Amino acid sequence: MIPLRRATDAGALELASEHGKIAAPRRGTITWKLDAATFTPAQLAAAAAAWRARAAQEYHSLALFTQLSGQLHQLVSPLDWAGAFARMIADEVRHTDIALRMTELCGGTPADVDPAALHLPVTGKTLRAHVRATVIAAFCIGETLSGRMFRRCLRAATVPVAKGAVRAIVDDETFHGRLGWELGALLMRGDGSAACRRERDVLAGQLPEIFAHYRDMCGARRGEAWATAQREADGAPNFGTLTDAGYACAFWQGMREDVVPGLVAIGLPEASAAFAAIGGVTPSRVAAAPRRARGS
Amino acid sequence: MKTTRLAKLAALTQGAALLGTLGAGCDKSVPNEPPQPPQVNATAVPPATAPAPTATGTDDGGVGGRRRFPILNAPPGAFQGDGNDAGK
Repeated sequence: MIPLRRATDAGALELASEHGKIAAPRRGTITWKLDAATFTPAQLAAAAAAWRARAAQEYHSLALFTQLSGQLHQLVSPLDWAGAFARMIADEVRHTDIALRMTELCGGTPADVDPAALHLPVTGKTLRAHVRATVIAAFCIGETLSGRMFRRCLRAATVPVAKGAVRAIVDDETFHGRLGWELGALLMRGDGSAACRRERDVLAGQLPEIFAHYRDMCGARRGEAWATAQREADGAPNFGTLTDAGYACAFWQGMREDVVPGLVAIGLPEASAAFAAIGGVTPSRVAAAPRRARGS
Repeated sequence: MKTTRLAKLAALTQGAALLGTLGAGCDKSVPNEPPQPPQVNATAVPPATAPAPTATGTDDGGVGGRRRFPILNAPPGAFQGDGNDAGK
């Protein structure tokens, strides 16, 4: 594991100046002030741990999206894809920087990353199949769920600097979700070949496994009924985080309301059965069950 | 997700494939191939038997010169100038 560093610390460098421009929120500003004396050590430690974990996650996204961008070049995708990816990679730089800075501000130690786990091995039959599966997983599912979670974190945040940090991330995540679905739909276009159809079928067959992976990552194994029965977020002071149940709830609702309908629309009708296979509740069933007032 | 957006996404799936057959040209049937070490360092230093550059030689491969550094972003081992250097 290697600790992440925010800066090179080698004097005034052009790279640091340019990074500063990229790392700044696309709109508004973040006032980087925190009066630590107004919080208990336990509150600060919890906030630092949450943002530390978030920094590592954002860095993983940065590495994955950069790798994916290069793979799209190998596939000679249209140039506007490269432009959109350049924006997205810049966004992930910003998110990592913000999360690292929040960790510092709360008195935490820098996040660690395992370099060997950063890039996704190419395991598909073709690079095209790998890219399609990665976009479906990382964007149509991952970024869609992430956007929903961050919107709820923004609603829950009470500490001003944390609210500003989450708002900057939410602005970007909305774009990522939309971009991901456009890419996912475009990548589902076939070329009429049997090989391409087989690739689609293989991807459809992997959906239960992919869904289960995200369910576990979101701490949602205990099911939606458990998640919705719990408190979504702790009260003040809230540093832009949800409870475990809050993240789990965002997973189940996001899957049902956005991910599964979206995948069906782009040509993966198997998504409905895959969702049921991991314990997901279909819209008709959930309509009959009591719902929490707060949606995304 | 709203119905209009779902309809837009469904429409995007129709049309010519954007990556087409290129994917087949990047067959990764052997997953996780270890990366090949770059070759440039092995060829950047002239062998002991190679003639020394002439006095009129230049870095850009001018008269009598032999370019001995890799072209950025070219495949490993590709050199400009003396074609015999390529792929060494």
